[in-house]
Amino acid sequence: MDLLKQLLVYVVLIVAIWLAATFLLPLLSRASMAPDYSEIDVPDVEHYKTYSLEQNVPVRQLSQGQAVCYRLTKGESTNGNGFGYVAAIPGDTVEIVGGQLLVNGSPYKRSGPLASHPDEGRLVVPENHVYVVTTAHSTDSVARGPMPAAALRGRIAEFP
Amino acid sequence: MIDRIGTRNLGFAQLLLAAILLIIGITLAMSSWNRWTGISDIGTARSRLMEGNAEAAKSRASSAARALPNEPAAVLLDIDIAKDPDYARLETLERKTKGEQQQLVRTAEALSLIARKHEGAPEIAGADGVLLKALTELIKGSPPASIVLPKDSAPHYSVLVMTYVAQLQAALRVQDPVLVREAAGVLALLMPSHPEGRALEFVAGALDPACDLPRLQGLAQQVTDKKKLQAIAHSLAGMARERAAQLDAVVLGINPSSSPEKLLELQVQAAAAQDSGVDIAGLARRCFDAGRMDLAKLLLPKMPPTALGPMRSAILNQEGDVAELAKAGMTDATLAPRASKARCRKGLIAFQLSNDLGMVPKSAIIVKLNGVDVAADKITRNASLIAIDTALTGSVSIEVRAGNRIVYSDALTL
Repeated sequence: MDLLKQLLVYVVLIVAIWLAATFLLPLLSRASMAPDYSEIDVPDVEHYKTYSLEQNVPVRQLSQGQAVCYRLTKGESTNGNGFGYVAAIPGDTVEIVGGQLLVNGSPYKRSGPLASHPDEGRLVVPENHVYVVTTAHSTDSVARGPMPAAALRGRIAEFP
Repeated sequence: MIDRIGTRNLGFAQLLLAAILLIIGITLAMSSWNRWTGISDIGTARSRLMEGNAEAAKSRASSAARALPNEPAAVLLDIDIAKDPDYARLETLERKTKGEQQQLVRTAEALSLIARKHEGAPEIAGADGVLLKALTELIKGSPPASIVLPKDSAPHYSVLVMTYVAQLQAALRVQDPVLVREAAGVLALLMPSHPEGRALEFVAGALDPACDLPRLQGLAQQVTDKKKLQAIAHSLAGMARERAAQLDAVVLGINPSSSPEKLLELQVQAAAAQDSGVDIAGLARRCFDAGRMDLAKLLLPKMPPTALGPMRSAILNQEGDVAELAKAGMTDATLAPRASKARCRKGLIAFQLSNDLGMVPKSAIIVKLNGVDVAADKITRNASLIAIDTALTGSVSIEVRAGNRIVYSDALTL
């Protein structure tokens, strides 16, 4: 009887490990892609200000006007971070007309002037990409094209 | 006895189970390590791609695909859609994926088939489908047409790039300014940091009537490869005839707001002085239109070989100099200069020299009497009439050359 009991315990243990390996680990790995939060310092007019950065936000959860932090190389920025606003999400059209950035045909107010650009577009923002703009356009989508999800560090909460 | 056997069996069973658990543990650990390194490699490959380091990206993508062979995010990074073996990998991947990921793999399969000019690409819905259909037609060599994407459907980046690159090439081939501008504009927005990004902006600006001259000059300055810029301006000249002169001036670094006459002079001088990509034949035609044969002549050394003969002939015809025409080896009987039979009286020989069209040599002619050159001040020309003062008497041989070609020789009696 003891032998049977012990065998049963081992079998249950093996099945439990197998179940965990098959179902629980993938669930956990997916769970690790869920948004999590950290803090990030953003250069303000005179000093750095700390904001909450929501990481691992899927592109489909972003919308126009939200502030995001994106990756830069060390040469482009002291901390490797760029900050801008989402101007367009996948499926939106982007064009430059008369030195203005138009998103779905309407001017996007947060974009800086584009006087040196000829009329360009219309570009449909590709899947899994966002069009991010800043006022200076030195490292944003005007300078680099639509940003892939992999280039985004996350969404900045309560960004002015 | 039974107890002994039972205890021993229990020991064996425990040993077996421990071995199984160990194997499961090792397998789990290896699988986790594999997955972790695979995901890490995907991230690194994407980072290297963004930095423009294609070689490192490819190496990391291959490593990720080996670790995660059923993960589209890893395999698609490692796939070369132009290679047959990689298409087989896509087919395998499609069978192992579901939902949105399977749709993504099917799009990659369609792109691979089209890129390799194979038939039977799967039907893809939405914006990708529209782009892939357009790409198929463009690769077949069909004339390009405007691409209209359905609303609320986002295409994939690679499909967008491949289709618009093919669209731009086709539009340039058929010289359609609207489609060239449209494709260049989309590509300029899509990949402005690409080495060709500035050139694409210049193309869009050159074909945009609203793009003023200072802005066009600014765009030209952004293109660092000046030879490429000249080649672009050359290929656009036919599509933007109204600003062809401005394009040439911008490319040659001349102030395009100079007067048209001055602009033409400067353009010809610049084109003659440097190995530019300017449309020399087009520039020569503009010289003709302005009646500036002197400028057109300057362009002859830069003229492409196929256009050199006709252009030289046209210039010389315009100038009406039969001697130069003769020098150029013109064989047309109506162009060849001919002399009338000379009339003689004591101290004077006279004859007419022109061609059938009435052109006369404007350049110097050489006259030899008895094998000796006659001094230029002894030759009087009045349009086609040539008169030679001479002190010779009796039998005199005459030879007249125009453009290094003997146009008349005779034996005369004075």
